[in-house]
Amino acid sequence: MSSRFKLRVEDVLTLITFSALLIFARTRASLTLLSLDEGRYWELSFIMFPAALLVFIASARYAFDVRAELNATVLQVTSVLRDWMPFALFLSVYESFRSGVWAVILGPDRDAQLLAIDRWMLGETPSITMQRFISPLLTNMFILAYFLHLVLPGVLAIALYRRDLLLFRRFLLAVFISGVIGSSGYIAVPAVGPGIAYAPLFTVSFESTPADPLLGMMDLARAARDVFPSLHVAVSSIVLWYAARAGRKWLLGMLPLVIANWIATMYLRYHYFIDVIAGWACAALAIALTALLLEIERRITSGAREREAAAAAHPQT
Amino acid sequence: MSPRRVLPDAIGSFIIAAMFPAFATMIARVVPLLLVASACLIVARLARDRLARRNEAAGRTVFVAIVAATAALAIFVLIQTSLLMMARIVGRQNAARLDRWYSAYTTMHGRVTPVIAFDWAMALMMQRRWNDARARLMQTGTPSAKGVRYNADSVLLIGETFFYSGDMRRAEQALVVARRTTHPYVRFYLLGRIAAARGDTSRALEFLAMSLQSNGRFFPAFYHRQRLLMTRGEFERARTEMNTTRGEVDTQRNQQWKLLEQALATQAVPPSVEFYVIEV
Repeated sequence: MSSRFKLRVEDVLTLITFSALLIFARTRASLTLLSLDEGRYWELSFIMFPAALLVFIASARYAFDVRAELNATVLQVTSVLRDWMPFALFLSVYESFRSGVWAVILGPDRDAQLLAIDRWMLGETPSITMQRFISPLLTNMFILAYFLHLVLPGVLAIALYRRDLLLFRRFLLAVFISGVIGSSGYIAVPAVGPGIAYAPLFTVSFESTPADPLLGMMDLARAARDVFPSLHVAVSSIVLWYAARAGRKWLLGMLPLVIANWIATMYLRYHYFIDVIAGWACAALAIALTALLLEIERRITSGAREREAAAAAHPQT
Repeated sequence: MSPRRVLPDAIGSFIIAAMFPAFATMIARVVPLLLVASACLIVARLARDRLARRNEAAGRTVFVAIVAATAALAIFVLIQTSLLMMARIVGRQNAARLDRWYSAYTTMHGRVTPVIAFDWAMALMMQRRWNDARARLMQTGTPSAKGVRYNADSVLLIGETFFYSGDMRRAEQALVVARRTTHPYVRFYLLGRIAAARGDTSRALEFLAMSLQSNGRFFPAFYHRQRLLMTRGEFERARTEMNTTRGEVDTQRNQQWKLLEQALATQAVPPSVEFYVIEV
């Protein structure tokens, strides 16, 4: 077996993003762009926590079980880090990049156009229509559903990692490609969402005062002008897609949480309905691109293996 | 409302509002701890195996020492983290308790990040500890090639702390700079108050009008604008504006509204009321 380090799609994406950030930071004469404040770090940690836990379990087993061997432990730890780190690096670099780019290139907000589309499709944007159902119980339920957007990917990722590495890679790759697509959407169609842009249209408060600190915390986790498409919808759709591939139980477990998440994006006044549709489209595109990129990777690696095999069979003298 | 209906809502609200920020904080701090602990455990086993070839007891001792040190580090970090989690749980609405938890956290050598500094500053402002709040706000900056940069909302709050502690000159300097604040009505309101304190009533009225244009329901700006109009003898203008605004205000329970009405009725100047605006 070749001991050469094999470059993966996620490695290439991370390198490209890191290079773009370096170029951008250099042009802005600010290497401090390459930083991640605590407000972003805890979002990153939800992805890194499963990996850190796996590394700790392997290390503890090695430390306390005399039968455990160093080579096997090192292999296990480095496999976990090798499999998860590119995604963590990509996310941290990407978050730094996004906030830096936005400060420079955002155009005028497009909330009026998005509201007009909703009204053309449905008569009124759902956030306003949903006011009649507001209650503390529903608000807390939808806040929970909205927050789970950060938890479900990590939970599914660790489940997929334990059963099928390729499916795990497909899943996380689709999530991060959807992030790239989504951010392109944010730059092309900047908007702040109905709750902020059209606050006077909302005559009913959430009545859930104790829940407000959590809404504030989630606002910290959301970037500015991150409305079109809804990445909450895109990522949760990707979670649902790959949960289905993990098995029926996973699908049935995730389905109500994901649907609640979709509704929550509008109930909590973060998104227009068109953002939700765009989120579904973003998810579909990300899943398709992931399949394409991994197919390209497969062809490159299988071509390389064939060349190696041929070289081994017919060594030059 | 019956307890059977209130209690589940209250419990649910507490769980969501309090526990999830604390949970997020814990996750963010536990990740590096797990990685460091993992490295220490591997080193402990390697050290034991190496030493045990010559001296079994020495190997066991070193192993126990490293594991114990790792456990001590973990306990220290977890105590620090739990203090921070308690601060997240109590939230800004319990400003005094929040301040105590953050103080305990820094006593345990916890690092004050810009996010923590901002949250702490808000709690201190709610207690009207303006100088302490300003000190915390000065920790919210992020380094850049041109020095430490503060976002406009932090600068606005710094201006507020100067204003409420009576340093109008520095307050104005900060407020002038905070052009991109997400609460422009607060900025215009304070600039109006500063102009009024300087005797420039025309400029003050302009700023207060701009504040109300940004947020038509911002009562502090409305009150002081009416007071200024009455100070200038423009009672009819004040009456007109009050009649226009009457539907936006709870005239039965708003005591300051009643002060304005009394002043209008007696053609006197209403008292100067200080509104402590902490909304960012």
